[in-house]
Amino acid sequence: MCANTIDKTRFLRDVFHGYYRTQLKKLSFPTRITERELAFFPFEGNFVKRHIGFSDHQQLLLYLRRYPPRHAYFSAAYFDKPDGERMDEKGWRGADLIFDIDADHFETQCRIEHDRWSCNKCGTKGKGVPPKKCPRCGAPNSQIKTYAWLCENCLSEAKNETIKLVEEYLETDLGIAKKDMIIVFSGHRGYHVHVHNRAFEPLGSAARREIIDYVTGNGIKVESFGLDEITGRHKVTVGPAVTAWGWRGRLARGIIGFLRTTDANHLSSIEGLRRRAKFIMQNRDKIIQGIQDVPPRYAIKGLKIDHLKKIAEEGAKWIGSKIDVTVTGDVHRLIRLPGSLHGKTGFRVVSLSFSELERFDPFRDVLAFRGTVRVHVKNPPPFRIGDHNYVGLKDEIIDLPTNAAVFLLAKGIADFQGVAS
Amino acid sequence: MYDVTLLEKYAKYPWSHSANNYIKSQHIPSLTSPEYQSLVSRGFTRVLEAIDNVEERISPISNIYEECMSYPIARMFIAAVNDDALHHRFAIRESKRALYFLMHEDQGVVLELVRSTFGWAVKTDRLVINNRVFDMSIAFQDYIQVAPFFQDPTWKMINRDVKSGWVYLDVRQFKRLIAEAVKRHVLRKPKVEARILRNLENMFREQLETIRRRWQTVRSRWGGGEITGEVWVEGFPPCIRELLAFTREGQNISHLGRFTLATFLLHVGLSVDGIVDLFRKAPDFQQDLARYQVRHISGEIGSGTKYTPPSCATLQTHHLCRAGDDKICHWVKHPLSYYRKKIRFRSSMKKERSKNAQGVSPKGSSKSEKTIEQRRALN
Repeated sequence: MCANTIDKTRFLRDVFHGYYRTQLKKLSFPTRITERELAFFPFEGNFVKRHIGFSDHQQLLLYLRRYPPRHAYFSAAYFDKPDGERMDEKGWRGADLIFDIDADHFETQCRIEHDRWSCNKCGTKGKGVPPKKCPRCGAPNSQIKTYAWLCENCLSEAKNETIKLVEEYLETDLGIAKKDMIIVFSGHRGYHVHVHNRAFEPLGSAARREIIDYVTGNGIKVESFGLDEITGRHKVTVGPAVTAWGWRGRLARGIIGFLRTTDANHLSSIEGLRRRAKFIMQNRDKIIQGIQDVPPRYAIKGLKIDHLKKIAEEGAKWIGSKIDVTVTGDVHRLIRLPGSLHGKTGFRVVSLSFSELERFDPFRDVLAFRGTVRVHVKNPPPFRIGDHNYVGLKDEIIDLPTNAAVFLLAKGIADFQGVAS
Repeated sequence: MYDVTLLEKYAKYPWSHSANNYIKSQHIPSLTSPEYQSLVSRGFTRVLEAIDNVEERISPISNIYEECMSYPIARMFIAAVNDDALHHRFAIRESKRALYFLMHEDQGVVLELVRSTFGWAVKTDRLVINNRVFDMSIAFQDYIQVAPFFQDPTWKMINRDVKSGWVYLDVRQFKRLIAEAVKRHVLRKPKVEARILRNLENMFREQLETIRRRWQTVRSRWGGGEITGEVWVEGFPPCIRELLAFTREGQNISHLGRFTLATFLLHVGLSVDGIVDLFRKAPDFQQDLARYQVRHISGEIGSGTKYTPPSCATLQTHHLCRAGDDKICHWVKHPLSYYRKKIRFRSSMKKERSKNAQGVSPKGSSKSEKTIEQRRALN
């Protein structure tokens, strides 16, 4: 490790330590801490220290002060013996229902501007969503290193997606009360929804997968929601109205949304629609108008029911919630500890009620530090910290407010030069 | 004296909460005494019915007391034999039996049964959508504990009408859901101490021998699906074939993908070293770590549990399923079942071929060819 890296790590550790020592009011730890496993990723080394249990919040706080971690996690699961080293020793009692919405799961336009990738093999660099194979040397995706940035647009999409998940799926369809939910800003590129309700704690992985598939639309059989061809004397194509409740209306709206945002190239890449892509694009408005009519008209001359079902399946994917499916399905999941700091940004992991989410600013309401720091900035994409926009920083030594400096240092695009006088 | 109506209910639904309470209240001192012989005998035939006639019609109840009290005795026999496949078959039979009675049951009785036995929250408000009538609704958290066990995708919650936490079903679907829950309920292993099991073995040696013998005869008819040491890549399901190809190419596959491949290969007979070698091309490959992880999931180290690959449902959720038009995929719920089925087809095809080679009657051979053709179509 070079001297610069040591200085940077030591500095980050020190400011994190300062936060855990002084910012007591900003810490909001989870409930039932005695039943949860805690895990920490220290500044020194590249490993996670797991299987730690605490008898109360005070013990946890003392630990954070003594060993300020780069990342801190807690289990969504409740255990008889949280510090047991093996799962069968821990005694699983149940787990909160959790959802993770991360900007990595959206293909936003801004990612083309701020995300970067490079090939470990040949050194080729590029912008935007990383390719599946290196376009120059053909190295597989495993050889491609990605640098994900976070911007206003990404986090605003993530917030909207969280609101959609909570209001449309969890509350309206599944009847889960907002008061039973805690929304957590991860401190980086997304939000977590924690459902605290004993009725859902015993659900196993298979049951949780049913919830995942419900909110994402995975495995949908569109016939179940009335999209089909009825054969009698005449063939009649029928389908749901946009105003219908649950997945019926959602399917109709999904078809419309998908058709509005797709293009001929994408349609041609879908098995079963390859030959009809041009026709669909030419008749797009007509199809959309038909679905919006009262009663809806799904029959389009030249489009078979199988094509329509294929479009509807794409529509379900388009409108389904963009959650990280591995998180919800894992009944032993470790998730970021509210109140802790995120090691990739220095932002606070903030716990919110649903009513607070709308007004929450993930670039202002997360700041943890005071003071000014001198850093050597490399070449960051534009970013905002608090009310200040940083645009056009390029290979320069500059004094920055600690929040902005920590952000760049933690993101790996600045070197530590010293605390500014 | 006892209430005949109540006892009749217990006889039909001996797995229910209230029947269980009644059975416990009966205090039978010794099952070997002659006065309880009829109960033991009915318990014994109950197990034999499951072995021999699992798909056959349920016969009407001839003696309500026997029918109720023989259920725990049958479960006791199942526990003593200690064979998961037999236990499963018994659960299927009991679930079919429950469905038979439920189909003609009074709604109040049905509601009381599921509320007290399974703790389900259910409502009876009517909903009509596109001329289809849904008379029952169940809390989604209760529904999803049973729904994953159905093979038909229409049972998935995503394919149900769900509103404010309630999943809507018609009466027939609701009763099928109960039957599936009964199966799961019967499948729960009774907690019986080893000492008691040994006593049972001594007391009912003859009956247990008969059960074991009959069960072996039925099982031997299935034969041919056992996984042997030989690894047959052509028999792998499409999901595993893709994971294997990606790994060989050195592509990065997800954690669950690696876990699925490693556990599958362990179960079909590949060694720990063979699997570690396979992952050698992975970009983040570290021999010691990979070896540790594979040994861990093989049960060699750690908790000693040999992990099984995830089910088809899990692979679907994680977008690792590649079923496409593969016909066998639509019959199975687990990648290993796919492999077993393929092996079974292969061994039966080999048998058919060798029969043909030895020159069986023309009639028999044409039938065999047809069977082979049909099986080929499946591949």
